[in-house]
Amino acid sequence: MKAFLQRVLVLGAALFPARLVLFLGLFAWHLQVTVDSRCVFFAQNDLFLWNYRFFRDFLLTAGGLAGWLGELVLQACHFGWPGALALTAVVWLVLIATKGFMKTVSPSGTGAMWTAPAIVLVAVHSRYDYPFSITIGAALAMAAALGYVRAADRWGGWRVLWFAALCALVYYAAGAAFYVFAFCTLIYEFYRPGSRWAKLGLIAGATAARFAVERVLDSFEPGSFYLHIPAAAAFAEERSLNAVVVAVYASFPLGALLLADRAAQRRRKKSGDPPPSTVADAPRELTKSGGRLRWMAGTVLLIVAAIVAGRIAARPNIRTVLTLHECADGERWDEVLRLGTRVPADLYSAYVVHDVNLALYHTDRMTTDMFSYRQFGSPFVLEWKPGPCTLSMLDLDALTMRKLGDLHLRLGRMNDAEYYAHESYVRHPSAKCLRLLAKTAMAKHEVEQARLFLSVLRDDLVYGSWAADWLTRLQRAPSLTGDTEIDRIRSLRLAEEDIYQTATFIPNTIIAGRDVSTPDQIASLLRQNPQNRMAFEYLMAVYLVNTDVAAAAALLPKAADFSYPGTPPVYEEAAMVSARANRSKLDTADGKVAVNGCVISEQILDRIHRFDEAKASGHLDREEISRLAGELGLAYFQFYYGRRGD
Amino acid sequence: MRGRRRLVMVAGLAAGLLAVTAWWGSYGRDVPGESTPATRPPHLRPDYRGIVIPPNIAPLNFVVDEPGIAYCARIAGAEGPPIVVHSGDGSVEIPPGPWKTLLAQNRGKPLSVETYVRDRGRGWQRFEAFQWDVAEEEIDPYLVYRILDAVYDCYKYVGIYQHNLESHAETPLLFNSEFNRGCVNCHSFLNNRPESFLVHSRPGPDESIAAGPILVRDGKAARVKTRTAAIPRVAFVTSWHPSGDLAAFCVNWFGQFMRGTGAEIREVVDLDSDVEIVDFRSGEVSNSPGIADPDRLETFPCWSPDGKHLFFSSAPRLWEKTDFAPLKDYGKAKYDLMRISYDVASNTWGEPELLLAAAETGKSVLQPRASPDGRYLLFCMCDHGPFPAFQEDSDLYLMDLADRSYRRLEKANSPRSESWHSWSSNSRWVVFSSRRDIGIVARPHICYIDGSGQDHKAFVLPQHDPRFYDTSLNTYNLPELITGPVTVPKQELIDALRTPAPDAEFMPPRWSGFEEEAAASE
Repeated sequence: MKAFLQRVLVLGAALFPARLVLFLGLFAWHLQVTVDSRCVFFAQNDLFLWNYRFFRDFLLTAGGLAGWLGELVLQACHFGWPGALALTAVVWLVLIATKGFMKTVSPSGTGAMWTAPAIVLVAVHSRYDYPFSITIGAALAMAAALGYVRAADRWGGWRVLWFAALCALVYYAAGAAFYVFAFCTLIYEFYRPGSRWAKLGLIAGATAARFAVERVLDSFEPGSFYLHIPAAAAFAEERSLNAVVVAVYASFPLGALLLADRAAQRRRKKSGDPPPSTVADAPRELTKSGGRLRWMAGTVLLIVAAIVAGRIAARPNIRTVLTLHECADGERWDEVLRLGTRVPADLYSAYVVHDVNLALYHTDRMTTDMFSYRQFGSPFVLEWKPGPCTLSMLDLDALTMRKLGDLHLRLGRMNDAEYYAHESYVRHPSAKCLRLLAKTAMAKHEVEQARLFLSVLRDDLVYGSWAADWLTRLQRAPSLTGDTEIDRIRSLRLAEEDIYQTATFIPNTIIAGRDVSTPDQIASLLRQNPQNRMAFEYLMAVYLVNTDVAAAAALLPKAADFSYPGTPPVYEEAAMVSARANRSKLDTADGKVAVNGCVISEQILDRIHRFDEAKASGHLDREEISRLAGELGLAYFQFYYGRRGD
Repeated sequence: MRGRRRLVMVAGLAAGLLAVTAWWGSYGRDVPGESTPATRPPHLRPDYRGIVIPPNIAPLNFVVDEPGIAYCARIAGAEGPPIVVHSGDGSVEIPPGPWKTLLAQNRGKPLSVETYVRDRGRGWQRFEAFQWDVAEEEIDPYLVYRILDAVYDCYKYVGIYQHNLESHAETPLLFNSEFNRGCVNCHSFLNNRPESFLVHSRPGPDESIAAGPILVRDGKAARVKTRTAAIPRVAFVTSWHPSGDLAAFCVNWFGQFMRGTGAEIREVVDLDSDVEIVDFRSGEVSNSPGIADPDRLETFPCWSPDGKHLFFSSAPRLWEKTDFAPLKDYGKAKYDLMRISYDVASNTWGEPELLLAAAETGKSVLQPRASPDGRYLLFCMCDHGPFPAFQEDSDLYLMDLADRSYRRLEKANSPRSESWHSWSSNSRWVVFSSRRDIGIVARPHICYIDGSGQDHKAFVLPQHDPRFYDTSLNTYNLPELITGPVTVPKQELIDALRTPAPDAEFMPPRWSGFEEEAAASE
């Protein structure tokens, strides 16, 4: 029993050396607390289905297995810590295999060489667009390399064959990470005594294995794939590499090369080399004088280097934006508004505006606080016009379409929601799109269509339970009457066709395109259903952001259809701007000032009075006028005077 | 060493035993001994109850859509041993060998299908048996269709596939990831034969693939010239003259938009449309006023099997080339069914003849397809427009060409859109795209037309996985039946696709109104 426990302890110490454990703890903390794995999930997430049909696509491509595992770990990131821990486990495998491999390459000691890939991994995992499949590929490659170098002596004359087989396996499972395996093992072989022909045979074996696997996989028709269609181009794996991936992959063979070279130099200096050892280096270091101190210094150095790398690579502002989008998808509106104030100007994109405005509407603050947040271009994203300050890591086309689909569904334009959701899905299949499509189909009474989308989504690891729940509900009551959200959307649906009021054909030589105006669509919606508060507030928002105060003032009487306690302050300001711009006489019924029949509150009038006084007291330029309006609490005046003339 | 060999043998035996057990578990046993009868037939997915099936069709695998923990199906005919399939999840996968034998022995006779379901805590329940009538006539063994997403505007992947109806096997003929994500469409075969066909292409995102048809003949594929200075528009839907020397093409410019109301949101209008003839012997491209009247929009040409008539659809042009009226008046465009006589020897046309007026039916008459025996004309009728696939109410109608009487196919149609129909070479089977199940996507359905022209209940193309359609988000259009597999090498087709169009110098014109609009916006 004691011997068994001792063996377990020895194995534990070998698999979990203290320095590595410390590093991994830091890595997990960094991933979860600094980076936030949920943001990685948001930035990268594709549709991931837990079924064979989906898995088969990955089985039939080089590197597919690593890709599938990477996507699987990404799904765990939706839940936060589980994702961070899963990724930490992968990094552990990478580093323990690297450490073991390097120790075999340089039995006299690896020094801190294994920490180089560790630091690189901290840096790359701080990026939100870094695919996990790269780290998983590296883990598979280094594990295979360790296995190879440990067993190489036993294979004798069959070494080339085994090596080629292993190359084929690694290329198939890990794709381009195969080069990590091939280079590392070849470095090991080239620094070992042996026949030159055998070494050349290994190179030939690796090359042949790579092309043989490619050849076999090429025999599968791309047309028979389900969702992940492989690129038809030759050397697709190699072409997919970018600088970050090359940096990760290169860190392994470079470290191996340095170690092997150093070990060879030592061997040349000393004729009697010590035999290869697999004993962990920490205990041996500890036996030396001052070893403990050196170990601690090394550990501190590693931790400091990792922290510095993490700090430099981290992008907290990007994290804020991604969290905001993620909260908007989860309808956590208060959080969206809180984060909206923290997004820096250079990242305040049309997508942030879109989400913030949606949050303002859903918290009943659109009519009061809209201009407390940055507004530009349009209150919602526009097709084909992503605007500035966007995150290049996101598939903006697909995101725009999804956001427009979601907006149209909330507004009650179900057919447009269906269109945009489909367009988004075609560009980038995602579970969120399927969810939107299912919701739209349910709102449209398209039960079988909804079942289809939900049946696909049921196999998704994140939204599967949501889909299963709705499938049960559909089974019980296909009409879904009584569901508040569905009933609300149905009550807003268009009754009359309005395509000719909202779209125009545009020239195109083969199939004529068309230009659709979302503001016109919202206006049409409001015409058909004057009780649609969302359509009203969004149409007003369009006019206000476009500084079309005349249109806003003209629409203002419709505010009476909704139960606002008084004329909303933003609208009052816009009405006053309009009245002043047109020099129209203000109504003064019952001693109260009104524009288009809407009473302007004393508070706003007082602020405007003070604004006029301050403005008249000095020669102010446009920016100063805008700032002055802001100081007096006239949010729309501030926007209007700041914006006009842009 | 000996021990290891023994271990391998034991493992092999165990695996074999497991395989036999699994096989025995799924079929081979008899039906349950005791069962309570249910007074209704079972719910099936797909709904294969009460259909007429070809004697050469692959197994009609289905799911018994009833709650239960064990399922059994027994398929029996007057001749031969019955097939019994057991299942734990309701999936009934019929073994192909015994199925083929059963069909061969029962050609022209009915098969009875009994289903049994055992629910938790209850015994076996026997549902009312339903029938499959095996027809005498075979269906052409291959079906060629296009698979794509439920396309609205954007597509990513599109391919043309051939499906072996006798074995479920599906193979891609052309898939656009292999040619710069271009579009392939409107495949058309000469007399249901796989050797000669036309397929069209359109540019993908990078516009490197030319627009226009590719002619495949004698194992060679090459682009065909279909545009001239007088007819500069790109050709689409094709019909071969039975001689194989000519083909009729639609040359249309259409616009697509999304409706704000209705279940089907996609709408297509012909902004301009004519029919043209390409003579493959001389390369001549021509049209005549009869098929290219400037005051009318002509579309969907189809030759009669004797090659003496060309059927087509035609509507008065409601909009001029200067405004955007199509968006307002699209509902008023209704197409008549026409035909025009043609003498291939002298290359002369007769006068257009009205077969069925939209004014009479109140509907748009589209996609005429003559049966290979020349007796019938199958076409779509829908409320309006030139594109029945996007019309919710599009139904199939059959005209007897002897007396020009026509009727709706009562059993084959559904409340949703039916379109893109194709005849089997023996004129007994029809395959068409139907949106009956889901609406947004179309799936191929097979229908038997008996000797008296009577249609029978249509059924969806069988798949090996009975749950295939539960999660299939693809649409299948233009299903064309052919008598054998297409054998032209894929690379030959791709090479032809990558060649520039021989008529690239003829650029399609833009409408003057649009040009002004574009200039104004600039």
